[in-house]
Amino acid sequence: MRRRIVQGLLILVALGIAAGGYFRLLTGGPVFLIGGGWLRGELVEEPVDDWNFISKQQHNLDVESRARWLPYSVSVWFMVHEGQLYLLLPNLFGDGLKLRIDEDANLRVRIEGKIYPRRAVQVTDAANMATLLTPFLRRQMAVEIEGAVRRVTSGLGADVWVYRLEDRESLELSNAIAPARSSSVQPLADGKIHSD
Amino acid sequence: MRSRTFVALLGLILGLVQGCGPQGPMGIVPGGPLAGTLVGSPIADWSFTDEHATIAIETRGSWIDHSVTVLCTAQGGNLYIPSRHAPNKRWVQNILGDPHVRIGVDDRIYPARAIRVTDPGEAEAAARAQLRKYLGLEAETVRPLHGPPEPGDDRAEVWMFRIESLPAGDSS
Repeated sequence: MRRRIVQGLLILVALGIAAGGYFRLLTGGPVFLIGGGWLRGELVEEPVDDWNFISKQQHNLDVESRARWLPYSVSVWFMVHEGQLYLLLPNLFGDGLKLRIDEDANLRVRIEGKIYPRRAVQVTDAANMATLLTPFLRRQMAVEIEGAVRRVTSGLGADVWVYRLEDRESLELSNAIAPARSSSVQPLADGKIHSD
Repeated sequence: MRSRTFVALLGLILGLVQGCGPQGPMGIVPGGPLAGTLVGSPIADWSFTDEHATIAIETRGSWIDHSVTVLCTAQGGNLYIPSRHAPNKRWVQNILGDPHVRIGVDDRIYPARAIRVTDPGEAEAAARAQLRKYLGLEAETVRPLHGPPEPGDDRAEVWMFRIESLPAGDSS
């Protein structure tokens, strides 16, 4: 009896390892909210000027980071604003992708079976974030916001990261031509960032 | 063939155990009846859930209790739970049939009753608290959108439930 129990446990452990390996290495991307490895799809290297072609029925975007020795892909929230593509990463879902972006901002995103190499640039100013989040909040949370918006600097919601996905080549070219300008708003004395 | 059958059978057993066994949900995977320490006294202030990104809610199904992982927000001492695409959710349908639920936070279980929020003022307060908790935002105007979306509108239909704590053993 004891031997059978041990065998059963070993089988479960082996199945768990096999399942983990399968999702991480063989699925070609995340499965629902389970992280995956390499994204499979047709590589698109031409620049994209307008991301409004993304279907309004699509609520998540598959994103791959190769910051570490094993590629990591996850399904995340996204927004399209004025034709540009943004990622929204609340700490609610963990900071795995955010940490990898800190190490290497190059990402690959998959949309309708096609892979687009991009580079993540963090958005930090409150006014810009409010503009970006308004359609997202309406779509995902059925909430409309208006007027002044400010960030809360404590609690679970304090860690929310927004990234604009830029074309890698155009970003490198613009950095070569002119120095980068900071787009962040300095916090006021009370520690909160306000929008005008 | 025998190994495939064995793996399929094992997967089926694991699925049944998770869905019907005496444990709650595991992340996005629903579960059966919650297990833990039952809290006998009603809760007057749910703000202790502010540190929790998600909690578990157990609802009474037609033949077995059904539990899922949900977001939660405490506001004015009350606890609120949102549901996206609510009409399609099994746990929401269970609540409509029987509002008695049990809330699982860490290893403690709290008997309660789930009431759908219909008051616009209360819905706004809950939405504000949700924005603050999960996205770190405070806005001048916050307006929850009610009812099903119009054709062509890609927004979700979100229902908000207020959780009213009950003493253990109260089935009223």
